[in-house]
Amino acid sequence: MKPQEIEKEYKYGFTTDIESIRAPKGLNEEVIKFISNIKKEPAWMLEWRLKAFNRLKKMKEPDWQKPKYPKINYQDLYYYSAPKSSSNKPKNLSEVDPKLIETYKKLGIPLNEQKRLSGIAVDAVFDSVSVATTFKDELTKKGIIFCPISEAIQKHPNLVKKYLGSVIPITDHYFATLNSAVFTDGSFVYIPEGVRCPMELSTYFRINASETGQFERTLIIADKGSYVSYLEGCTAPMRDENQLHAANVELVALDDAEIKYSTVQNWYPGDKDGIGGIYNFVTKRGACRGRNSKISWTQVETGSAITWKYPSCILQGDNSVGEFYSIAITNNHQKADTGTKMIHLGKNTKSKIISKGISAGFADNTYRGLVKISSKANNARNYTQCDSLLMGNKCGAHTIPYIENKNFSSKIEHEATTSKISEEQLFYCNQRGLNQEEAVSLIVNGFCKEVLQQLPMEFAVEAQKLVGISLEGSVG
Amino acid sequence: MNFKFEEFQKSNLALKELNNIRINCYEKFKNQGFPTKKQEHWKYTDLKNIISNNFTNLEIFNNKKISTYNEKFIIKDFKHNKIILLNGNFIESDFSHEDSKKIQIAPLKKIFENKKEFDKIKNYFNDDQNSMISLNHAFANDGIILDIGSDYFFNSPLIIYNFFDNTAENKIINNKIFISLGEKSNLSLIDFYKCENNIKYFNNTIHNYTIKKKATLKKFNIDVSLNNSYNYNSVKIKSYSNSIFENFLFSLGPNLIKNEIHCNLLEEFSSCFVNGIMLLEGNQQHELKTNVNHKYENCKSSQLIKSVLLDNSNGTYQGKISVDKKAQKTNGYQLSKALILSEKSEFNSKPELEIYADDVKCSHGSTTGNIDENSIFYLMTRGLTRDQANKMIVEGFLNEVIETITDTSIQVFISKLFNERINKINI
Repeated sequence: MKPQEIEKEYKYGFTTDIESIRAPKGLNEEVIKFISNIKKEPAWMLEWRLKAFNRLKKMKEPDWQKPKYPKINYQDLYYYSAPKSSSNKPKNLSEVDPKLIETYKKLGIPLNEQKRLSGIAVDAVFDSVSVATTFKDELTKKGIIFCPISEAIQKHPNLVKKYLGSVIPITDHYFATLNSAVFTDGSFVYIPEGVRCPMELSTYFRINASETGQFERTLIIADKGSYVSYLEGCTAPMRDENQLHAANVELVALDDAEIKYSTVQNWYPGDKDGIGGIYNFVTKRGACRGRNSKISWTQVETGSAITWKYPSCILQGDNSVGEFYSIAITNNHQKADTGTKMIHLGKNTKSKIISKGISAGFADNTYRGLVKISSKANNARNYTQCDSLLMGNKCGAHTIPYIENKNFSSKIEHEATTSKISEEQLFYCNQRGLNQEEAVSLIVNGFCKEVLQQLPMEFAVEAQKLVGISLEGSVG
Repeated sequence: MNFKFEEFQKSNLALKELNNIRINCYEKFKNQGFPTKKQEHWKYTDLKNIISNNFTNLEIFNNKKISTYNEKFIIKDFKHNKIILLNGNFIESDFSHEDSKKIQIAPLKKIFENKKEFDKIKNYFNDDQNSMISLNHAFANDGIILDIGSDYFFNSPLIIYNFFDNTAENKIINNKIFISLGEKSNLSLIDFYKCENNIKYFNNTIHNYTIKKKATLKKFNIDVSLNNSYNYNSVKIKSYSNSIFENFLFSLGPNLIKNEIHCNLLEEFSSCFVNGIMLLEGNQQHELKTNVNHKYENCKSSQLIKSVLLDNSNGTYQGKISVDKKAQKTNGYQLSKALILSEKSEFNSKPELEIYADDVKCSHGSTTGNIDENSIFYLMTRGLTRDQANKMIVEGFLNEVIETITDTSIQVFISKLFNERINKINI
């Protein structure tokens, strides 16, 4: 193979100028009160935040992860920044700041187009505050609540009180606790009993305003017998300093409910020398509380300088099912330490993990996962498959599965392979007229197919392209 | 915990250099204490807890009197060479089947008093994060150093007998074994454990093996009969080009054992095979931790571990394959299979891959579960009872590992021991 260098600038690297309201720099009680105040939160919410903050003061940042990063100065970050126009929120699209609309257009999500054509309700988060929420009426008719979490705190306090922090407690770990103390906004979804959500719910997150940490909080509750599919996707502007993103996502599935959560993550990964880029330290956890409930995570991780997250399932209800499908692509100096946790507590619980890691350039890609079968989880079943693909000898691929079994009627299978794209495959493709890049893209897409298939239609096409784009210039 | 370090020092005179190492390592151990589950490598074996639950008065073994060993423990009807260690101390060796010019053996005690000899092994007393290693450095008072010349093919296997008698009760024994195998030499080595009167003791041994070019070392750990011992074994191997290291673990006996195997494949075409059986009952807790480092091109490693867990037993396999960026064309394989046959037993596994080279073939697999009902049904339709069927499946399951033994005489010997043991067990 001939060494080939195609320099590809980050496609989505641009910033939009919008005046921001910012909290003062730093992390302290004042800032938390400021956030709570600006969000017009009730007293119990502020109390909850402060409880988390007090806990945070006693906690230590974890350091066991594979990708190391320079120490973050938490006092040097802005914890709140919102586009000005949010103080008097627009009722419909025509009232939305035209500049915002333009940003979305550049990203390839024309809001009004999407509204008409694809039938997706987009709850677009520009920085930290939800700006435009569409399709609300249609959802309201079915009794579905899909709104910014700050709105839910005011309008549906009982639901929020009951479920917020019930999956990720405020004492969980450093970043989750940090998020609990300072989270700014995010989505709230409640699907009432027996309702099948008629459309894919989607949020585009976007980090803007420099030096802001993004602390999203998402809570999705699927009541008995309901179904929801939720999409999350992100791109971020080009920037030099590292940006911290510590979101919390909580899912709760009650009896016979199903939640499908899909993510395409394409934040700024830093330039080709590894300068800049987003730190993506996200806590995602779902609880299958009810019988026969199901939670399925699908993720395509191509961006961020460091991705460090383990979307997990707690399988409490009998017969509940957890699934995890993941593609993690790291190129240049990107680092990823990702995987899942499947905690089997109920009887006849099942879980399936399919993880595909692709490493190129100087990148490091780690799969770390836990499968834990408790002594009461009779007839639990797990199947895990982790495959890694290496391109070049300067990158690394690691697999660290933890498999803990305390039940004698359960069955666990785990397999993992690591290899490179074989010369035969490339030769075959070249022979049929594909050039090196096309051949690699084709083979990688085939390698990832099992996961890509799990994505909803709207995402699948975009994700396939993304897989190709992320690896451009990496094969020599 | 008071290990009477000063007393130990006085009664085990050594070179000043070693004394300094001992003092350093003892300090380190005192600071760290026994490992706990908070340390990643001890996640599944909380040694501190185990020791405080099982030993009320654990002391350092420091007995000057050398007693005699029980001769009836020597294996009969099996031609072999002997090295006998009693409570970790060297007693005697017998290489009557071999060419004595090729074999040099010395008790470590002697080496500790000889500056020139000690310099050769000084590097092995290096710093370690692991407090068990520090403990061993501080209190190791004996062991052996075995040097085998080049171009020598052993006529019969060597058995290192590790005997323990009443004086070891409630003691912690620290010793070290050094083996160096010369170019193109070939040795089959059996590490055999036996204790008297079912006493309770803790054995902490560090093995250091050097396998030179084109040499082959086959090692077998045999500790079959149930006993009340607690063990930590750390084996470190340096493999040079075209060498072969095979390790077969057949340790079914002790209450607690943690075997660690660190194999460094330093030059091309070297290979490492680790195979083992865990057949646990009662409250036994066994762990195997392997770490195979592929440091150079064209090396091969393979691991096959099969476990059967009964009663309240607890088994762990932590395997790791590391591939350096230089080590292209590596072939690495790990497979762990476990049958959990009792409600209260537990099996944990952590097969790990850490890979920095792209032209490699590395894979691992891990399964745990119960016996497949279809297989039992099949056997029962052929007239076997459920118990017979169970036993047959377990036997077949474990036999697959015994069949990987490449030394035929030892395979027959281990098969015999295995059958004796499995017939005593109710599955």
